[in-house]
Amino acid sequence: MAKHSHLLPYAERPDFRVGRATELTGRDRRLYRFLEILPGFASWATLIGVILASIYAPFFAAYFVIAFSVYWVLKTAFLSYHLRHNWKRLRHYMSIDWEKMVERFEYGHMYHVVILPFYNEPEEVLDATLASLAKTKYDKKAMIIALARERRAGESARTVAEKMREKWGSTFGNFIVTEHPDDIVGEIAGKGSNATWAAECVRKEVLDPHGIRYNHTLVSIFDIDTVVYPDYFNCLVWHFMTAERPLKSSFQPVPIFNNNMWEAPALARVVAMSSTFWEMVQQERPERMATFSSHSVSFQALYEVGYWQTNMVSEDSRIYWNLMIANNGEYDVIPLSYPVSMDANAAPTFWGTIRNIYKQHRRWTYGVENFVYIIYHFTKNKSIPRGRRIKIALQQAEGYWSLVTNPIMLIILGWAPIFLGGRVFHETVLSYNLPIVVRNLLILAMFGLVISSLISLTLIPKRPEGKMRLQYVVMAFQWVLIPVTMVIFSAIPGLDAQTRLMFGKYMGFWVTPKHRSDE
Amino acid sequence: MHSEFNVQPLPYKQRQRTFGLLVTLFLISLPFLYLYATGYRFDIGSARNIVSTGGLYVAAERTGAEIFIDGELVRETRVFRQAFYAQSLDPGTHRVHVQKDGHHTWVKELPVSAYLVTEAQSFNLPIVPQVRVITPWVSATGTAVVRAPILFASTTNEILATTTMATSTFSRNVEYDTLLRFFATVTPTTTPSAAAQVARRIESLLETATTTSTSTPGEAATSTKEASGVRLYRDGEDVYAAWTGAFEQMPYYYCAEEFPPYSTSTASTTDRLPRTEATVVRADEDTQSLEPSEAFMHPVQTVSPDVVCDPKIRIDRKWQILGAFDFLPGTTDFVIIGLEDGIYVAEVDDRSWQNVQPVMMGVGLDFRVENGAVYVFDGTFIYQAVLEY
Repeated sequence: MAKHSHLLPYAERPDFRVGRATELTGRDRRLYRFLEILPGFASWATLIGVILASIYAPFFAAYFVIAFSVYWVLKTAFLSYHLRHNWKRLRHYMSIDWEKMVERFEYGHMYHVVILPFYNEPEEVLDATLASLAKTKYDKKAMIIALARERRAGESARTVAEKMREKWGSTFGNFIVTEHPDDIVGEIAGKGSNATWAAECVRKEVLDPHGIRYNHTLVSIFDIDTVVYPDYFNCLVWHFMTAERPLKSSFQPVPIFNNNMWEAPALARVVAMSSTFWEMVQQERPERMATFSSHSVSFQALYEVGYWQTNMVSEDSRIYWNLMIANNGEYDVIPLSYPVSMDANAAPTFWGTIRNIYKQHRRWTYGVENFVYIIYHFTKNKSIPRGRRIKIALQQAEGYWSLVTNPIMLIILGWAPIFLGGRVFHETVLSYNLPIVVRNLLILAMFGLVISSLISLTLIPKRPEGKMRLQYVVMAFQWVLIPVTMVIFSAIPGLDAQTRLMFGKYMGFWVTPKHRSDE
Repeated sequence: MHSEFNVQPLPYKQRQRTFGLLVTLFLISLPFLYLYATGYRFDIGSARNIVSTGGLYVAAERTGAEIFIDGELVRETRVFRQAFYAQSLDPGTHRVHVQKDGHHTWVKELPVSAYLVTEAQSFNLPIVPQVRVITPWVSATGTAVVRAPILFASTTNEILATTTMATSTFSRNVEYDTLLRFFATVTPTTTPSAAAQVARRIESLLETATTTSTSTPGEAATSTKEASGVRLYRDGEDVYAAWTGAFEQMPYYYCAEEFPPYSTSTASTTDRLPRTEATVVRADEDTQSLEPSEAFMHPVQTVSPDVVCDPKIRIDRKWQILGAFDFLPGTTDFVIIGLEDGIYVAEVDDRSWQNVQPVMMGVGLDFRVENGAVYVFDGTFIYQAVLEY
């Protein structure tokens, strides 16, 4: 017990950091396994149900499709409303002089640990990330950089890390390179285990020797391609200082996947910007937020739950659920509405891009493993208010269900009653009007895309030399690809991930290859 | 909330209000959309302001054709718009015609019932037949050779008109000889047409002159045909199209009942139209004004398996003696029939009447359908009819 005395009481449970059903025994294992099956089963049951209803109850299916289309239009309107507002807030926050804003606070005691886990990404990717950190309007001597490399990445990663230390080491207060071993029992190779190793190294090698208090330390874990905007740390400190419970909060910036926007193909741009937009929508409804990708959190909060889980894939969101559950629900995500830039997923070839986007989204949508974790611990931790547990459970269930089923139902199965309904249905006005009604509703929903298109144009980096102005037009009209990307890069990988979980074919961490053109 | 920011986060209450507004919109719009999709329309003049309507779906196979409903032009067909769906039609009989310059006009009166869509497939054959002429002899370059110009049809291939038929100049047309064999076959139940008799004579001559024969005589166009759940057969002097497929897949007009003829007032009549013996519409007991709530609850049709119906349609032979018959290639909606004064295409649909349009006029003509093409034989030449019906 003494070994884990820093952990919160609930975090001391042996099943607190469970990653999959096989790590449990008895009833808990059966419950966890049941929960692993549930999302995939629900999604498949819905999709098959629509097909069966189209065959055996086409009138019911047709009415359902119409209702669903209306729901989709209104959902689009609702999300666009949030998106537009956050876009305004984002632009406003980017125009604020945060350095001046934080002057009113005494924050000289604050330290920033920046953890940069990497695998075998090119040197220029790391260099750009560190350069952006060096350009921030913040005291660099209060920043501790932990470049977290993987032992399994070999000598090339070691060389790159050492070059970075040599180049940037003197810029920051502290710069350490950590090496995550590849033989720790119970871990899966991935960002979570690497980051956890790095955090513990920082604690032992920097914080403790220098007497830096954990509650005075903010940890920012950034994907290795994250380019930080100049006022990020000022903005972060401001939100930390004004938070209702700063040590019980995570801080989420807006990840804009636009570093390589001018080099990425249209498909990659649409997918990347869609992910950004989703996070922007979430920024305006923080009660539904979990941390995602690059984010910040106090070191103390992390230490109280033993850092990131090392035995699962989607550690970026899981850490929020760890913290929320271990703190009996008394934990928040605070949206920063301030951006960090990352790479759109683009490979040197078109098909390579398709493959990479699919795999990346399958990994992201494998976040459904968090649903299992949440529900499991909601049945265990009764200290979390019941109302909150129910609300979160329903929100998460709806989120994972709709992610997979909605695009397929809307774009493919919406037409099923027409083709499968049989002659009796086919002769009805309802059968003829169904595609007309659905088509018109979808056109109405397309207005959401117009908003998306306009907002996206304001978020792309400055046009590099050699790129034609015409490309702005392409970027405006690329949003017509949305119906395709919704199915191919959202619904299908989501269904893939849920099906794998359903059958206990657990996924490992797939590292998204980072590619930058020579330009 | 901090007053120094011009743009605050969206307040929770404001978001909840927006959510509530959208939920209300959802709940309000859904019943209206359901009613609209099912065929109900607002009508200020009616007693209850809501009336039930039906629809018509007319398909045309030609681009550039005009579709009229009740005398009103509703569609000019284009490459990807060769059909028209007319909705919000009052129950009753409606007249549809599809016309195109240089083509026969297709006209039909069709019944429209509430909540249902009446489908029809139109066809417009060219007034001047379009044919490819296949002659017994061809020139060295393969050009068809005739003794006199062909004036009754528009030919798609090159023709050489000559008064001499020297075998040293021209050669025998293999395609002609192959096709001729098909015309030589006649079923015992029918009287061979004059053209078929000629064909048999010519073929017997050919057999004596030719030692090799690679073709198999095709099936006579006068025997029973069956395709896609439809059987085409002769019974006495008539030819019938009978539905043999699954009952559920049967086009309803195989068992269609009589309906009132079209007049300018029938389209808005309040009389209930008998749709079909096989199809019972529950909700259109009262077709016009929306009556008690069950009309909303069951605005659908059901098929009663107990209905007695002999699903066959007699093909209109225009009081003439019937010769060969067959399905038009690629469809069971139309049949091609040989009559005393020519070859015709008739639709397998006797709602109001059958449209019958000539492929080629002439006495003693015979035809065969082979490999998806229609060949007409006049005793001298064989014509491949170009039928984009």
